[in-house]
Amino acid sequence: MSGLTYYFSLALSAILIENFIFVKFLGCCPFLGVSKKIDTATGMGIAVIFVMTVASAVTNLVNTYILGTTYAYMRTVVFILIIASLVQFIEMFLMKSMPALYESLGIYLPLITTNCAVLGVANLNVTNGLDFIGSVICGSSAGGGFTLAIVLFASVREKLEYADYPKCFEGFPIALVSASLLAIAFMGFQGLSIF
Amino acid sequence: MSSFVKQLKEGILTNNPIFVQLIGMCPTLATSTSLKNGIGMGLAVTFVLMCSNLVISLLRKFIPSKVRIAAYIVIIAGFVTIVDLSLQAYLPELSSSLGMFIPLIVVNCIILARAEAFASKNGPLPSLIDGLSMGLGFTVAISILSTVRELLGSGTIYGLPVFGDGYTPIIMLILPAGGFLTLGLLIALFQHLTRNKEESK
Amino acid sequence: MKNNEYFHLGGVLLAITAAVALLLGFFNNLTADVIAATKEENERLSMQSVMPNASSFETIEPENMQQDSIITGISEALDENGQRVGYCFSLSPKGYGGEVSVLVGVNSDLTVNGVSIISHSETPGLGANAADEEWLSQFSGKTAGITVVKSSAQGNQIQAVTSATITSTAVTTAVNSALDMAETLNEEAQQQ
Repeated sequence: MSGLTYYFSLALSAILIENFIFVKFLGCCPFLGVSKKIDTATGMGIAVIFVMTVASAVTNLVNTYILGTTYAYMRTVVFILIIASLVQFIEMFLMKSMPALYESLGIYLPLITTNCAVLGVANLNVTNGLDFIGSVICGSSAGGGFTLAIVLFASVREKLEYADYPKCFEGFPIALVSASLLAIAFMGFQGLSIF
Repeated sequence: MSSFVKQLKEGILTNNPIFVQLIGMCPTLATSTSLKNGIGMGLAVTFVLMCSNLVISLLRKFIPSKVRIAAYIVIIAGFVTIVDLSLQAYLPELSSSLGMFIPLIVVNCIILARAEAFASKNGPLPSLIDGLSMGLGFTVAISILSTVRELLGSGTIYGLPVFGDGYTPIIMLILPAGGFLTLGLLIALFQHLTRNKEESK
Repeated sequence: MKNNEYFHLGGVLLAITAAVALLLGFFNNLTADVIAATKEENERLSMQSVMPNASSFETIEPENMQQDSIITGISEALDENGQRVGYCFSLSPKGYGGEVSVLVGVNSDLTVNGVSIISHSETPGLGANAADEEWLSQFSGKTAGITVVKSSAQGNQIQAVTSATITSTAVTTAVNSALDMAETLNEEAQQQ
């Protein structure tokens, strides 16, 4: 497989076939927590794409040039510290230089530290032995898959407001049942392999 | 003694992390395909929760509030790595079936939430008990969920066949979609039961 | 005054991180050997399961391996006297839900000894049934050029797992590649 097709299939797989939420169950907390409205879901999604791309790049470099196999046992501690400080740094940077963007994304940023999709993608890049470009592509497309899922889900939930269902399903349960139906839809992508 | 029972009841029933607080969803959904995995995950989380609560409570006067989140995360990550390494060394089978979800205990919202809401404000002993009861609450919830999924999804409990050969398993329940569905139905049931109780009072 | 505060914040964080790092380094020392030993033992056990007549295994790295081959590792299977009785191949062909990690034992006479699936992410209840020993036992004794059929397999044929042709084909491809590679290795050994 040549370079370009390889990276393309990597991206496709992260967005659709192995969607982080519906197949891997990574990032379920924000997925269920911030999906009541399409606008907030979109904001969260974009913030996640941003952080996951940068985090994939930085953790890949740190893992290749600093940790290696000798200090593999420190990976979890180092990665989560990197992610936490990255999020903090991005927040300060946006506040100073792009106040408009900060206005819309700011409130989601602190939540991202504990979004397991970010640490998850950093760990997966290492276990799958991806190179630098591969990690960045995987990070951004996994974030893209997250955004796709959360926006789809938010639009379903907005419609749910008008639906009629048993009282005990109020709130989370009905959301989970709808998520399950979306997950079935995503199962259709499993057999998708063009190469 | 009575406060111990009260805390335990709060963690398992009235303030159950999964059924009531609705946090820590990722590992709950991902590792509940069989009872064995569910219990393994539950106990790993309980261990980390107890240790981190204890240490954070002991250090609560030394940690400046400005850097507290970073400090908590490092402490939690330390204990998670210890669990990860011990499982790899002594329970390799469980370690490979829980896979990537062990390191991800670090970002399990339950642990950071308890550190922030409880351990940073209370003494070591109550914090330890809080860790135990919240951890047990998580374990109980994930065990119920995984029992239902394993029983109907593969017709076994803890790997032992229950229904005999005539049973056709509902495969969907051990697939990701079934995780969302089963958890949704269970929480609905939980809400239904607690609501009835309140109304009868 | 402000500088002092920064030093204090940084100092506390540094102290905690250093303590954690120290603790982990110590703990890693304790477990590293056990983890390596468990891993090695597991590998040996799974190789033993596909080559029951061998008693030890030695990793080899042939020079003419193709870069994009699905073969990820080769070991020579040796009996008690150190005589070669066959080869053990680990392969990762592409299944329905991603890569399937397969281990194939091949005898010196180029027949399949045993096949086992180490890990996979195939659909539970369908493709995952390929990991059943009963299905995998079909491969024993087969020679190169195995084909997959949907029902009533004869001769050098394998009956596919119900509703999981892609997974069955993936495993069969792996076994065929292992047999081809074993033939090449045999020829090389004779030339020397």
